Amino acid sequence: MLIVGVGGQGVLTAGRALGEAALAAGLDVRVGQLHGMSQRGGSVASTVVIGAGRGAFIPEGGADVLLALEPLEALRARPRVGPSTIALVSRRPITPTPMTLQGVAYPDVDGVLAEIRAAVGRLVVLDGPVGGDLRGLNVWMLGALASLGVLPLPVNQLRAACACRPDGSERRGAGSAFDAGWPAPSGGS
Amino acid sequence: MPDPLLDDRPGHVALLLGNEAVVRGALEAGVAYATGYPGTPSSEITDTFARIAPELGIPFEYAVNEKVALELAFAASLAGARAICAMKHLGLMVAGDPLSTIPYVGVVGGLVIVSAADPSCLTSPNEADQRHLARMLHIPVIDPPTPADAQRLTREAFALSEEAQLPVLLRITTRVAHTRAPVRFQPRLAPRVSGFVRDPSRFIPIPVNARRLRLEIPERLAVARRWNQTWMQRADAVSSGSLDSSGGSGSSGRSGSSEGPGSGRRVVIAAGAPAATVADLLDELGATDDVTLITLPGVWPLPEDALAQLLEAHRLEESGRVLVVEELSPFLEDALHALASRRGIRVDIRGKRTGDLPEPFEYSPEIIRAGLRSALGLGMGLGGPARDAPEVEAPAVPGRPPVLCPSCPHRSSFFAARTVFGDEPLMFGDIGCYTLGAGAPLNGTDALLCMGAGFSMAAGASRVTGRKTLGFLGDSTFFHAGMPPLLGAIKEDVDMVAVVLDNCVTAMTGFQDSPGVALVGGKPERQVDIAGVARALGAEHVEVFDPTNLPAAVSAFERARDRRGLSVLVARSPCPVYTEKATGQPAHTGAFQITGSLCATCGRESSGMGCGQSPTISAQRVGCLSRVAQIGERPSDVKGGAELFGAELLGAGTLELETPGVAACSAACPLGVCIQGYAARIAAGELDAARELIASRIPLPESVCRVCHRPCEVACVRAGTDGAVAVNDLKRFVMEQTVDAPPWRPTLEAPNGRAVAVVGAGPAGLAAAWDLRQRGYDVTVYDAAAQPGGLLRSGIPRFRLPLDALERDLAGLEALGVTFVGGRRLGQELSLTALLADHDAVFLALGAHRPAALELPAVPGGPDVQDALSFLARDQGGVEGAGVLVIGGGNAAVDVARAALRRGALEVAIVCPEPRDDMPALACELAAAEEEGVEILDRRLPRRLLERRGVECLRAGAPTGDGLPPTEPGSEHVIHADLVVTAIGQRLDQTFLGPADPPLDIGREGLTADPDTGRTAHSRIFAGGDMIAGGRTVTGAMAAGLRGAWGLDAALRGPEIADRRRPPPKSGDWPGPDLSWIRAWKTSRRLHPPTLEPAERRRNSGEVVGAFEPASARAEAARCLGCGGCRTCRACLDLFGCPAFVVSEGEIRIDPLLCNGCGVCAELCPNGAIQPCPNGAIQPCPDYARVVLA
Repeated sequence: MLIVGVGGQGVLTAGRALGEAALAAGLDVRVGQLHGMSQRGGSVASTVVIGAGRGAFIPEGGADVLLALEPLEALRARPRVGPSTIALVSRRPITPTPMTLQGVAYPDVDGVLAEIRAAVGRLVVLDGPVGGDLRGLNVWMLGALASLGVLPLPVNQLRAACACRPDGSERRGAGSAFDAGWPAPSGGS
Repeated sequence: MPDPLLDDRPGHVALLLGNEAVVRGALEAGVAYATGYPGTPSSEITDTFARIAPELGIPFEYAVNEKVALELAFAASLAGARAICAMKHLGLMVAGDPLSTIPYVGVVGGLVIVSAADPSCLTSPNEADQRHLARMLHIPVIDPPTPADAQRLTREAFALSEEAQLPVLLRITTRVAHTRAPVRFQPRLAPRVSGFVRDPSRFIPIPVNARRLRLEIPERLAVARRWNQTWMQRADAVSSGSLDSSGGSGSSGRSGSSEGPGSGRRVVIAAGAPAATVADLLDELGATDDVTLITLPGVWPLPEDALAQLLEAHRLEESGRVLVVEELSPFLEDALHALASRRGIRVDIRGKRTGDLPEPFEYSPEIIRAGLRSALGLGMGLGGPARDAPEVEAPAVPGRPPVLCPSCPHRSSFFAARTVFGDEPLMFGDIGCYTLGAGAPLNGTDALLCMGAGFSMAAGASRVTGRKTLGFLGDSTFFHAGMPPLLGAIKEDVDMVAVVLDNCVTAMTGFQDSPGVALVGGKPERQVDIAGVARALGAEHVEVFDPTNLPAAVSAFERARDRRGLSVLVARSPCPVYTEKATGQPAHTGAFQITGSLCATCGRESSGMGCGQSPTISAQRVGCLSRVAQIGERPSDVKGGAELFGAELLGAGTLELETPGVAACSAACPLGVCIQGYAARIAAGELDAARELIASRIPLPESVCRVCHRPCEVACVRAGTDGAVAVNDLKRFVMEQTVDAPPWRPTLEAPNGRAVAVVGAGPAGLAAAWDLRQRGYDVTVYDAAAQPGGLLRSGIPRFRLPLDALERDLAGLEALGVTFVGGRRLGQELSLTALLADHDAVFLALGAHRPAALELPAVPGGPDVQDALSFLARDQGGVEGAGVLVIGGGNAAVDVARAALRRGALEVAIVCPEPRDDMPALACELAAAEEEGVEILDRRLPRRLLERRGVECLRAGAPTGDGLPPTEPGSEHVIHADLVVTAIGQRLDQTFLGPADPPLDIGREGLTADPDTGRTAHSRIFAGGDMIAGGRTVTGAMAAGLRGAWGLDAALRGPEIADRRRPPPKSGDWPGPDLSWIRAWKTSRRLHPPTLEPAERRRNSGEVVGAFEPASARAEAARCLGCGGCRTCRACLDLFGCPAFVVSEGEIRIDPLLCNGCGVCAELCPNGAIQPCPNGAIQPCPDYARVVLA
């Protein structure tokens, strides 16, 4: 599974939640995260590989699930998706700052989505976002992903992982954000 | 509840980052001291220790730098503690000095140095391979492939270190450090410190000891070699699956070292993260039976015997083949070549040297797959997975690089520095969040190298170029490596600005504390005062300012710019992201918004007076500086953000302003020239653009820039304090500087087939002709004089308006295609009736040439009498040695007086009824006249001429407001004069109208015409200038000419067409500027251009007022506060670049969800368009229309 988005959207948190849920379900799992300077509004990606093995790489065309919190970031992930990929993409664009400064318009979102649709097996476009708190978008989309019934882990494990901080404390509002994403949104496929 | 990393339930499995796994491994080894310096990708090691150390009861600290960290940890080791220190690969180089001697001395407690490498330079300026350093310095290296391996090998590394008495380098890469995988916890050993036992012959590596210790190293390395060999041969040395890491279930049964060397003819020798990828690929390819994978946990010193055995088993003679898979340099590969060579083994070793694998960058599965195929033939016969087919062409997706956060104080600092210093000075950056200031639009860095180099490089560059440079580094970096270069720069008094960007935390690597602020429970304690350190080092000019207080920041940079030598600026403002993280409270509240009707809009455009120019960086900087000057430094007890811009400081009503104002100077200008526009262009050094703004609005700019009566300077906001901006002198400067450039020419409409006769070639007539040509008319200008210019030629003395300047104006008109016919006086050689017959319309601008009558009958032996125009029409002579008395208080009187002096008059005096300070003449001209020796005899009136060259005068009383003031009886006195010149005004000479001509309405003030359109009683006759009632100024006459041309065009072609070129509005018709922002400005006295020495002027009839030097002109232009709105502005995007700005439907907006409310953009917006959102009225941008704010 490949999770992509923009620094600050909670990509790493979403990846970790999937990893913790898999581990809680007794599955072998690796979560890859590339961050560093990307926290400051740059592109961020996290990979979640469930099953036996050692690495957290996703080979070209090899993502079973793409969870994209932003349309352009979904497009950037295209080399890793293929006909067997189920993609969930939030259609809310975030214009990269250099484009704003240079006066370049964000590409047509429907065009971007069409490109992704052509590259994947199934595309679910999420009209989001969550009531009020954009920071819940990651968890809300995980709820939507869980509702598709394709994850090899129990939904309640994922919900619990989303609602729990690393130190064990409760992440307030996460549970309801997760529930808001469930059942599958009608954004079309 | 204990920290998750201290969970001691038996068999507990946790999902750990590689970095956390290192920490857990160290805990399992009983580590008793931890330190390090944060650096991606190693930072979570120190961060985790920082979190758990108190609970664990062991000391931990973020060291000042990596060298210090290693020394701290080494001392702990000598004291008998197991110690760990962590850093990134660059940090290991910083620690190079102690690192190189520690292997000689050896360790007591196990010492593990974690150094995280960064293949592909993901967060680093290089991908140096630390393994070479370790080999050079005799240090064993461990290279774990997965987080689980990192945990176990860290644990083992302490034992290895103690047995070999060597420090151990645990080298991880980004991929290992930042992969999260299940790690099964082992029991922890209790931290233990055995105590320091003196051993001077070992612990003091003076040469005699060092030589002996050197000889012990091979033995120590041999111990490490045995460890590495054991690991290589152990089945569980490295995990075969993450859950399997500690001998648990789930083994994939892939080939590995357990099968022993030589079981297949093809072998892969791998280490580090790529070893994990190879294992997964061999699984996927089903090649585990064909290919042996040997993973080396310890890569130095090499387990040579075991490896030689392996090479032997894969000799070339037996068609064996060896592929080495390692990232970065061919370290193992070359070592294997050397080993094979030494042992005489012929073997086909593949890898980077053979081109099967690339040398640089991290290895993706695709890269390794290609290597397995080309080197070992793997995956060829399998039909090749579709993924191996030609790669999908990656779509060109716009990049999304990281940027400085909204409300980041570093953005303000870089903005202020570039705004004050411009593009010219070299700026040197450093390593930290502020590295992001290098990019557009801040462009705050010209070169960057490593920690601390921001200062040293700025110093080096300044010393060789002799020019001032700037160096920037952060608070952590200042302590890490910035103090030594600062001390050096102080010692040499280098001409540079050393800027410490102090955000009170090590933000880039995840908010670690620094010596500047030791954070205890999120609150700063034990602060080290950076400014105090700089002063203690000897810096004389040290300033601390809050960069979010933009006017303070700009002033600080200006002071540093204006002094020579070293300045230290501490830009101190806590990182707002950290503030919120640590306190739970945002640094600022609220958000700002852009009032679209003020943003990049010009109040002149609605009047058709826009400029059509484009924004430039330099001119926008000028605009920002003007704005900052108006805002003024805020009091120290006023926070930024919404509080700064609160109603009580601003005055209510600001938010209601919906139309951009026009600067007071422009509104006062009869021609409506955009003065703040050309002032900004001058200050920006963009003189061509400045000239366009002048020449597109002023028909005769060379003349106007010398003789204008300057109502702009009266209206200037600064006029009442430190002096109005020298508007006309600046205009003159532009014309002088561009005199040799190709002249600016307006664009002419296509000929419209209509012809207009303009009668009178003075300012009004020529202005009308200039405008009518641009409207496509065929224009002929007639004048009674032989040459055009009117009053400019005959009524203004040359020392104010030299002939060549006038000729340049006239040449410009001629180039537009205006035809001039001289020597035709209306009423004599020319008749109105005939002109009407030959032209579609006539524009009359005859001026006023009939002197007003003064009842001073000549007496025999009395003074001669002349009128001013007749006097001035003569170029020279006529009054040598004479006493001249000029009657009148206006500019003509002053001109006459000054001209008389130059023409040889012995004494010149002016008699006028007004008090001196109320004389209508321009103050500057009057002052110049006095300098030259003209005597002002104010408050008196001439009564009659007397014999013996006498003029009898009376004292004038207080003016009554209408007509001449009353005289004081009995105040008669006599003034002597050879010549009396009357300069009390002129009237229209009515003789132009012949009996056959159409009747026109001529009143007391002159011809009656509509001042807005020039329309007269005759539908095809228009008029303007001094011949109708008016201000009687050159510039005012030109404005009348422009209005008349518009009125004429409207009459002939209709108002819609005429409105394509609009005449300047009259002064009351402009929207006024919003001056409520202006609090104060830094006092700077008006500058004056050079003038001819008064004593010179009698001998030299050349122009008295010279032109500004460029530097003075720029400085004077920069005094303009730019108080009107301007369309040519994108300063927030072009100069500042906060990510909270979005462009939506062509308008710049602020995303309220990204805006943190710091308000710095509002401090710099030249148009004052950025204001706080009213409470509860934060409007989402259209992009986020679906967002419902709570």
